[in-house]
Amino acid sequence: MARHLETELDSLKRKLLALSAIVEENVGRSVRALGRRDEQLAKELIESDREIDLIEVELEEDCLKILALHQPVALDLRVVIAALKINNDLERIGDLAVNIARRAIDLAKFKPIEAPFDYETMAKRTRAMLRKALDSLIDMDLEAAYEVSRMDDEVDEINKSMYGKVFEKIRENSDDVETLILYLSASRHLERIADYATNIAEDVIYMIDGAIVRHQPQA
Amino acid sequence: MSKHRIHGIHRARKKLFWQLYPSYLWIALFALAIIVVFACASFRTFFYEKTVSDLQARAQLIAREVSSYLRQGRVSEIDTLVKDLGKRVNTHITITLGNGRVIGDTESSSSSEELIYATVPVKDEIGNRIVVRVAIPVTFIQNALWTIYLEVMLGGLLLVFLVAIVSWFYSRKIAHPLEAMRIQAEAIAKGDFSSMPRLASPAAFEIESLARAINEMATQLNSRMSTITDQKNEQLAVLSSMIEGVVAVDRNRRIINMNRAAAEMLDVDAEWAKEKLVEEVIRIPELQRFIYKMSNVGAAIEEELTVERDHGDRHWQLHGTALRSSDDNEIGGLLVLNDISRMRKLEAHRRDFVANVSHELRTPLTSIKGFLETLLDGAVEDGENARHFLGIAQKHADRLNAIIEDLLKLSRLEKEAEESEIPLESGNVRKVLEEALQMCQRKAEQKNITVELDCHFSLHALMNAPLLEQAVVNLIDNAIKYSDEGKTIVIQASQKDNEVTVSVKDEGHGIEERHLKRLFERFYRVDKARSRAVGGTGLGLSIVKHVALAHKGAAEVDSEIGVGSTFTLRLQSV
Repeated sequence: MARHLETELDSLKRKLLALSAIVEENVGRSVRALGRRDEQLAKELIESDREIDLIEVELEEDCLKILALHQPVALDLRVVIAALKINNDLERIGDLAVNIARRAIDLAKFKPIEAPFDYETMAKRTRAMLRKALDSLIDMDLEAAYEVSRMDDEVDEINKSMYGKVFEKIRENSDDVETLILYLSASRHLERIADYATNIAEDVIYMIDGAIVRHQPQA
Repeated sequence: MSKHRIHGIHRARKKLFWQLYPSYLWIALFALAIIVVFACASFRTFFYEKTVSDLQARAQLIAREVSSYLRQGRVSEIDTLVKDLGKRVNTHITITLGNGRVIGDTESSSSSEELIYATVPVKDEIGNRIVVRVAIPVTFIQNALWTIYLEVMLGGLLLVFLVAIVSWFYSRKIAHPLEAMRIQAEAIAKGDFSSMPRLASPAAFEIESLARAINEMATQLNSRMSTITDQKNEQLAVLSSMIEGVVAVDRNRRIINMNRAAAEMLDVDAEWAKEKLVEEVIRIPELQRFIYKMSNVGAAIEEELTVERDHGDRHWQLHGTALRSSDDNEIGGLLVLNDISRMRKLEAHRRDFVANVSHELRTPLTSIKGFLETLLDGAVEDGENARHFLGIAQKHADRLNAIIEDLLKLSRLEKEAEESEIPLESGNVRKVLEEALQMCQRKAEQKNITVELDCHFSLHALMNAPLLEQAVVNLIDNAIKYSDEGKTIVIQASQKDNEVTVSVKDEGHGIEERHLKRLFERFYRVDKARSRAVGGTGLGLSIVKHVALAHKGAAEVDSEIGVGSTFTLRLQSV
């Protein structure tokens, strides 16, 4: 019985990691699609989101099956719960990547302007956060998980400053309003992805420590 | 319970020496104790017996003396005699007649003293019975005995001391080689054969053969281990110097091993990756799928994969085969990654080049053909139009000529550069720039563009003057073509350290960053329609690049949308 649970948990871990790899790649592709205004890439990405959805459902069923059949306790229980939550977060990140890809398709219709904010840095930070969160999941690394929430502040900061910059640009040159709004929306999505990455890191902390660190002021 | 166990473990861990030494000591002490007890006992018996017989002898002697006194009738003198004798030999003497009358007695100073007696009955000639009693105090004997006991004890102690020392050495002699063997065996267990001294042969046969066996084992193990290590190192060296990435996974899709190239390609640490799940190490969904397929399909599979990386896409060719052990059991899979990005890029370039050349050549040719056909169809009769058509055809033929001219120039440049036949000599940079400027002056004036030249008169560089002039002309020509009317072009040349840079800066529209990398490629056009309209061959910048390479320098471009572009030639100073 215990042996059985172990193999099930192992396969759960595999699926979760496989899903995380796909999601991570999709985020990277969405960022690239937006940066290069690559409509083709964006469309491919939107297509591949179906796979993420399928895996998400499958993973959730697996989690529920383990809970029902094996009634795990302690660490095993936390692993399943964390997997359930991370699964959800990953799927949402996948959706946000799709949203960014949609913005990329929309953007390609307008004449190119310079991104109104530090898009490259923000995208890089967000991806680094997501990577770190997933690293912490793979390595069961508490330290890395805590670092993710620290990195989140920076992305929030860029997102905030972006509003001001976009308003300024709109005032300056109202021709590009549509483009600027699209960028604004993409920035929001990136910021949301960063938030979900933080969630994943917090779930990892919960999985390792059993401590729920959400909604707590930073020490 | 646990205490007992700890105690037990502690006892079990006692060193051999501490097991041998105390047992030696105990045996010695035990034997000594028995000897001492027996010796003391027999000394005591012996002493008592001797004292008793001595007392008896004395009593006999005194009895004779006393009986002679009695015979002479000197009864009254007996007491004096007894006192005198008693004092001399330090003995209590009592003479008693048969009727119990004491006729002689030494003064007994302390009657409470414990005494040891000897009595001898004597008869005189008249038949009177007298009893001679001789006594000495027991303390006297005991004192003597104690002295002997003490001596025996001292001797015993000395012996114990000697035994302690000797058995210490003996215990060590037995335990020490065993200890040495233990240390050596531990070293062997750790795989340390290098700094190993041979064990000295101890005296005992069993220990000696054990030592020999350990020595033998160490030698054997050492040679076997070094064979294995050598083989492993060889394999590792082969694996790690492979350009292809190799990843071995087991049946449960855990990483068994990967070589350096694979670790670099996958951007992970090879040591860290060992024993980890494939999904943990390889974060590329396509590759995960491939490995899954590889471990499920028995046959070898092959695929191509494009991986998007920050610094450009990588093209990998994947080969997957089942990994078999020596007895042909499937133990996992082997993935070989081949980076074919460069090949792909070259292929793409070649394909583009051929397509571009054909396209570039066909366009003017089609025009020429069209006009010629029109002429043949009768337009030749119409003098005015015929002239016009021929003029156009000539223009296109010129263009065709220009393209072929440029292509030839380029291939000549390449060939000469390859065979390093392009002579470089010191030359005045300003002179070259001025001549180039002169050639473009007319075009610039047509568009009302100002060209500024900023170059010191004495600036020299290693150059092939005609080629450099050609390159600069191409750059200025481009700058004029892509600048709006009335703008300014700045040609600047300067020296920094060992490098002379010549730059042509325009105020054009700028070039998007994604084009910059490919700008120097043959026939690469940022905006196809536009550049043909301004009449380029599409080879200008390519020639510039090759000229720069022929000068062992480089050609670079820097551009900002809406601000303008700067093309820079880097040359070597004299």
